[in-house]
Amino acid sequence: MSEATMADMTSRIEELRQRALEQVRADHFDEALSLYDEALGLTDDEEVRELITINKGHALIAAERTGPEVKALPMILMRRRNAHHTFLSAYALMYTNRLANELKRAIFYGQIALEAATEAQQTLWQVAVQNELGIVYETDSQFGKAIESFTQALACLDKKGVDDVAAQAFSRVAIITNLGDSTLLSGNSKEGLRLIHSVIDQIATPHAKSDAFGNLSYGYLDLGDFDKARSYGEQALEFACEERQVRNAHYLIGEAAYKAGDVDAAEEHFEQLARFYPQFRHLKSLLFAIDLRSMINLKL
Amino acid sequence: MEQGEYKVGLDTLLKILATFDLSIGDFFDESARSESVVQKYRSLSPTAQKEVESFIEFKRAQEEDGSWDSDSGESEGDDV
Repeated sequence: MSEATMADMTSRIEELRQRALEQVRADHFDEALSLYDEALGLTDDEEVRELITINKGHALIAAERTGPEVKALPMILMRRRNAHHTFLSAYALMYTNRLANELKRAIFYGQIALEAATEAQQTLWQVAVQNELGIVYETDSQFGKAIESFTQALACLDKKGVDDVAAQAFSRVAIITNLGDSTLLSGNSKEGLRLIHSVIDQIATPHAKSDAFGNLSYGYLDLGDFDKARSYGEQALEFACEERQVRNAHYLIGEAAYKAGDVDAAEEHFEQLARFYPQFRHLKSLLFAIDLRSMINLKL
Repeated sequence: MEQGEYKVGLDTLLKILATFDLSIGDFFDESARSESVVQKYRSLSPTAQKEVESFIEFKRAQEEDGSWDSDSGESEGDDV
């Protein structure tokens, strides 16, 4: 193969890889997987094949599937061919272990990804891994470490060199929201509410809005402002996209209504929640008797 | 985990509590019954309250020395 042809082929493979990455970002996983397969079919270069394998493994994980590319990730990580591959494979392994609720393993891989990102002086990699690590710590109820990770992620965003304005804005809103959640869960309700209020108007998707409004409701319940807690709980219900969010919203509205003295409304929303648990005969009695709020993380 | 405060999802918590549903239900029934007994006691005159306390003491002593017949549901003290 001539040098020109090789250059064309390299360019074509990279184009396919970039198109696949775009498809993953748009949640079009089948299209992405086909593009990765096409790219893999065009190259024998071990380094390029390894990169595409990592990317495909990540796409499979994001699609909540598995395959040989996912199983190959630990071996690729052990090989440590270069900082980029080490970071990507460790990050993918952190993510898949978080989804599997293997939190200690997720933290282990997260630390490797963070080291690789730091050594390579790649600011956006550091932002991504610190944010993901924060989510893992929060899931594991390590709120202090979660706050530290999200704060580090924001500090990285403020560094020079992050010139993608759209990525900056999107990441900043997501990270501040996460920081607000962890701050609320750590018991610092006023600061948690301040953080979430600072970005609430920039949250774009109904799914993220429902979570943010639910967290505002949770925070105002803690502060004893039951009218606001109920109002934000109702907005969480309005934007709810999944059963978890519907259950959370009914619980929050019911709790706020009960504490404000509106027993009929509390009864109605606790009844809605109880419908998810037909085997739990005394659920409503329990909800009227015990405040479960301090035991729950609404994101889980 | 910090300070023993492990937080879980609402769904997980309710599923865990659902496995104890019977005892929670019993707890609430028992609480309601105890509350009702206390309310009745408080509505009595001081003299009647003294008599109830004496009767409770009598029943407690009776159970301690084993002379109470739990199967019959009656006791020697019923005519006190």
